[in-house]
Amino acid sequence: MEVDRGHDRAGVPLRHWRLSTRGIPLRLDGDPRVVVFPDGVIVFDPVDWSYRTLAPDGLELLGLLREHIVSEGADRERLFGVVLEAVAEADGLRVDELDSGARAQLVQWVELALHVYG
Amino acid sequence: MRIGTVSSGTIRQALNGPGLVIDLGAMVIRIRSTMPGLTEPLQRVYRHFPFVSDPEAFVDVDARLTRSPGLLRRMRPSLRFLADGLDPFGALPAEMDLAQLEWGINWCFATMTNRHLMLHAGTVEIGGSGLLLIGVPGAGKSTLSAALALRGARLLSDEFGVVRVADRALLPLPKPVALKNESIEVIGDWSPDAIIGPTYRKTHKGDVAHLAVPRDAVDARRSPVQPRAIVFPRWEADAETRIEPVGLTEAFSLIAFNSFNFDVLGPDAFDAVRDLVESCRCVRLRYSRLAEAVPALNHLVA
Repeated sequence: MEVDRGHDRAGVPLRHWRLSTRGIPLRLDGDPRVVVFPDGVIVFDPVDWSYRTLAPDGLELLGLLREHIVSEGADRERLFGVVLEAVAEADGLRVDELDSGARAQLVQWVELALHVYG
Repeated sequence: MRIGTVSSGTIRQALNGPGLVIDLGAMVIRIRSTMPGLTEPLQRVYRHFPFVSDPEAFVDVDARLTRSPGLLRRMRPSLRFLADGLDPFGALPAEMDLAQLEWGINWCFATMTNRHLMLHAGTVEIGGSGLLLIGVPGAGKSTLSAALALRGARLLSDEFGVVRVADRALLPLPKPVALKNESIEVIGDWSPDAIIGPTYRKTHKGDVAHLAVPRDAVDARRSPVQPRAIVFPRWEADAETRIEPVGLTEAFSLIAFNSFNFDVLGPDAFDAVRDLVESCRCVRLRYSRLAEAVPALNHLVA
């Protein structure tokens, strides 16, 4: 089923996904502009043409995903498992204790990493 | 013929008639004015620009400085700045003619030049390398740009970092440098030969005077330069001169924040800022003394 996810400023339908940066939802289409610096990540928002700086822990997460993409390839399911484990461990939780909100966020981080490094 | 070498009567005639066409490199502007007090200061600070008064000349902006009409004109003389017929500011104090013209032209650049990424930055060329001084008002952009230009650097602009989207080159936009408050005396002391126009007192930015554009900057106004260093200056009373690196993420944010048209150019601006950050040395400069800051900046791009 086709889902209407809105349009960018040029009126092009978005295949966007959402990424929360410090509580601000960021909408990205399927081909977001992302720049990864050694000290942070900046993402272009195609909807309002602003940019967002991602939190430093996001950089760690991207670094981890990059490692796995480079060494083992771009397998979404496996990468999702990797970040689930990493985040659960960092928060002192079991993987099955991560709620749906956290899991939804991690799916987007995997998509971002695949876009940048995949 | 240059503006500074023709008679003031000729300049006045041009301003009152077909206009004075000034090629500022990244933009060409036609100035017309009926304000009698404008001729002398304008001739002084634009002295090295070629004298052109051609009604058919192609220009990017048509600027006019006129007396306000009506009763108010007699009670409290005022002027209006018109850009392509638009009146963005309304009535302005008549005695500040050159200062108002310069602010008006800046407004034109900031709002009408969207084919380039426009940064709020002083820009100079040192030994073939472009240097951007990016910061909020009061950070010292104009003072440092003027001081560098009076010690051998080529002035590109004291107010605008014009980045050509196609190749990230810095385009010159050499206008008279707007010196404010203490900077007027500081630059006068820095270079006693500096040609500075009249001081306009108690403007909304304090006292303001304009440094004439140096001749080398005028002659090379069509020569772009590749940027090599980005400096975020901050003047602090009695501070030791200190240069320290800025993280790339912070540099990106500071550049984008100081852009006039990031949200207009969108993805092109994003790519251009990313390239600037990746290709330039990005540093923070704290300083209080030009005699230390200027050699430090020269060394930075050497």
